[in-house]
Amino acid sequence: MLGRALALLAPLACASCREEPETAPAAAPAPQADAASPWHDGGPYRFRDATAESGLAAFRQLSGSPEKPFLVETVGGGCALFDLDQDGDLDAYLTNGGTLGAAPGTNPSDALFWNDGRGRFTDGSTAAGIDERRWTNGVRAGDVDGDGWPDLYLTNYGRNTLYRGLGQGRFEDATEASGCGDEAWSTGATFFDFDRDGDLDLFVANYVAFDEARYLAERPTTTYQGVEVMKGPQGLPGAPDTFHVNAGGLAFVARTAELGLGDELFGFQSVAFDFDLDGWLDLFVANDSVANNLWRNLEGRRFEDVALRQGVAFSLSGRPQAGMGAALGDADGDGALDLYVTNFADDYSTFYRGEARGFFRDVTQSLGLATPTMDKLAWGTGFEDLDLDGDLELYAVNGHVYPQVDRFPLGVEYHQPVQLFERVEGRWREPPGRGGAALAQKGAGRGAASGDVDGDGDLDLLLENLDGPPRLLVNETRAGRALAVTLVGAGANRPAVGARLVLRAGGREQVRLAGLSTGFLSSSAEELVFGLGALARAEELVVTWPLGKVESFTDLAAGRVTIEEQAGAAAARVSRR
Amino acid sequence: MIPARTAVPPLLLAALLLPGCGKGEGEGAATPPTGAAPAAPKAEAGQGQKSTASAMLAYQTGLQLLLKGDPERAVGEFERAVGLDARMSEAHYELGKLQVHLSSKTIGSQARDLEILRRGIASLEKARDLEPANDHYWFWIGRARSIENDVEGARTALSKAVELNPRHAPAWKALGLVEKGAGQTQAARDAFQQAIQADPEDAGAFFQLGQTLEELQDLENARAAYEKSLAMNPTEPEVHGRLLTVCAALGDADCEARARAGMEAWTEYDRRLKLSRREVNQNPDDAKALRRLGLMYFEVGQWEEALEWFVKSIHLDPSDPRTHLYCGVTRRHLRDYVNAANHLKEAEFLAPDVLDPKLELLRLYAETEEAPAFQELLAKTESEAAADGPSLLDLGLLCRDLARADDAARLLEKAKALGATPDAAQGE
Repeated sequence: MLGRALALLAPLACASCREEPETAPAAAPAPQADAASPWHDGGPYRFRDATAESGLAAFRQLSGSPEKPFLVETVGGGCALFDLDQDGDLDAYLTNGGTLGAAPGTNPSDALFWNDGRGRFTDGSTAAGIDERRWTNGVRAGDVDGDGWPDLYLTNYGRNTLYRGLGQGRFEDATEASGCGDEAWSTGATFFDFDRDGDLDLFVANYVAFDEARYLAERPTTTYQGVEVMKGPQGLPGAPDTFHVNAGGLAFVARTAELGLGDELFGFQSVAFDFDLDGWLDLFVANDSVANNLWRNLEGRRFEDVALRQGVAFSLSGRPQAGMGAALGDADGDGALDLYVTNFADDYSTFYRGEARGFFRDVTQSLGLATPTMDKLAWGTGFEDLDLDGDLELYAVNGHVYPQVDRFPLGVEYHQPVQLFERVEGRWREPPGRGGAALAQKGAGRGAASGDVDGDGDLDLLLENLDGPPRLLVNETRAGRALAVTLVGAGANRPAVGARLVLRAGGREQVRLAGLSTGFLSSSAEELVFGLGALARAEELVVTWPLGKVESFTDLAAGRVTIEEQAGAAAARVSRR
Repeated sequence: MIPARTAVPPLLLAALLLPGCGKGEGEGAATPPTGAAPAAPKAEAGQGQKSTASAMLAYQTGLQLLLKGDPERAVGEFERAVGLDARMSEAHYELGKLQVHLSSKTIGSQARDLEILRRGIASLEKARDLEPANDHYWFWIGRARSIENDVEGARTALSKAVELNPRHAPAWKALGLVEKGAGQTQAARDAFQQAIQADPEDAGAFFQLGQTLEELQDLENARAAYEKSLAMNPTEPEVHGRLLTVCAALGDADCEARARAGMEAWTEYDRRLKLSRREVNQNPDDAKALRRLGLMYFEVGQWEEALEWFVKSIHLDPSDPRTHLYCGVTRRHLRDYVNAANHLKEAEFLAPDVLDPKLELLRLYAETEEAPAFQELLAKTESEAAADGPSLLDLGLLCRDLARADDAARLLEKAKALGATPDAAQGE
């Protein structure tokens, strides 16, 4: 008798689960800045590495073993610049990791550093009541309950933590009472008022459902360019994102499913902004290895994902990318917000130009950003006016996830430099000098926060690195004048998250959004800095407050101002600092 | 790609080889006889002839190894060919192309081993120097330079390729990609349009054209380009996704809904394809994984791609009848009937008790109108399956498909007598 047909295909072979070979840890390369180096201090931008003198070098981030056999060890963390004691300068919060499988409470703690106002920091963690020994990935700093003192929300591998600011730089763990101690592996958190009831709600992007016991035993691997490396996130299950509605003060109620959220899509950075200008804050989520989300807010009742329709789900070629961090700003000065999403190496980080009716278009290649970002694995990023000339620059913090790449000629490196881009005649380029010799130093960079750390008026950068100290890059660019604006909302939303500011100065308009959670798992300073160039004054600043009230302030001199919204129709109070 | 000079026919090749019989050709070429200065020109001519013949043999062997899916050994043969005859541009060309391929170990990855890539470029440039009017050589140099991120080098080489041959569609397309990467969107659009003029059946070129038109805000024409791309190849969810975005921007809800439906339909296939590609990346020596990847393309009728993976799988495991069966069917679709028959016969030899290879051979004989072979195999199979109702039923249904009414009626009647009917088979 003849057999009818050849046997059907065998089931797909399971992924290889071999033991990770133990090899010597790779040493971080020393800074390379010789005469032929493209990094030098003779260009238009100059940053100085002030880490050692700042005191921040005392902190060491720990992220597992040097070979990084597990995904958890590769994500790293963010940092925050915020004024914890309301003394007018920026203090720093640095997240820390640990060792996978370590006993509870034995990992190193995150750290809180006090600024003396001149960019010198002292570790004040113990005095502040900070003892966070879970594996922290992200930090959001801001006054969540509207009591005038900033709070801290930490997204962890393990339970998240909410520290309530008590004032005078002290905190207490309010997680249990708050109801937002998410147990999943969390990454990018965003506070915003989604239902326009005046208080701040909380979205938490979650990454992977990491079965620690199993993976510690199995040590799953995959191959990258033929090299055996740790496995993930592809091949591992995603963890569902969560949404917590503010029930008053610091009390939250989870309402993820009923709002249409909860995708299991390897979420990283989340950014709340009103992309369609309908008055309701929407939500962008950069997802690793799969399509990004753009959750359109249906008037506080529900969210729907319109990322594909609006053009931010994929790259121009229609392929999913490995979204890590996100920057948002009106980078080309046309009034529409542009979105920049950092991605994995062998792919470019993507510039989505904002267009009419809330559509976006990937124009990375035509803007010249594809080639210089192709061999970088990028994380923290931001649009900032670093030379205070009135237009935005772009920075990206880079570092690979596989230490093994240094042992093979793959065209990528584990330690990578920070990149700075400027816009010239409509295209982006790395400027001459690339931001100074200090930027030649390569690292396994992750999070980044911007703010005026040394109080000289321009924006400095604090970077968090994997397995080492942070980096404080002090901006010494010959900059113009600036108008730095801090908004204070009238109700519980004191940081005025979602407020839109349009400054008119010298015939051009600049747009800023208050309370944006851009970058990678980090918190930049709340103060919004507008560059004025040589101008001494701005003609007008129009503020659209979160609940729609519009106010105009004219003839504002350069310097630092605080604008406090008043209840009802009363005009805002403007004060100089 | 077709080299400028075609390969030497086998008989001529044999004639060229005759002087070299009985001695290692490579040794003879490398070590001229000592103390034979007066006779040098004649001896050198003889040696040169032997070298050329040996080089040609190495070149042909390299090509055969490539066909069998053994690129590493093919590199060795091509290197031997150019070592024996440094003026053999074809060998430099094949060696260069192969090195460019081998500079990436991972399918679809942009990461390259620059050392191997640059060796490939050097080989291609040697070929080009020997035949500067060969558009294929310029095209491959451009392609390799583009991989190397040498925008100017790529642009120059590809421009030369299309100057030499304005109908060189892949060169136009590659030039478009270089211009797109360099942010020269209008130049990219023009190049993609030229690529489409030269090859109107290239779905990928339409997709690329659509992207450049999108960047240029020409959304109506971008939509038309995406729709043409999908008409030729509907399997790419990326194209459906771009079409969806463009339709949304144009405010065309019907088009948006169609694109969304298309995207959803092909996303699952794409997910399985990616899994299969990843499996091959992780286990490049797993013949079954390679065959499964081939089957993914087979499933949607992408015969060239399917064939590539079946051939590689057979190289790793030549004793698997399934892979020969699929390879044979694929080659039949590609109208490579001789090789199709060889693979199907091999499948039949390896699995003599299995019906499928016989059915596919019958289909092949019918398509190539080889009536005696068809009748002989049909009779043999019918005899073997005399007591096997389901097999007789399948034979009958095949004959019915092939419009062989008499054979079909007879076989179906026999099957029915054994309790096998089309309805019963459907029920099973």
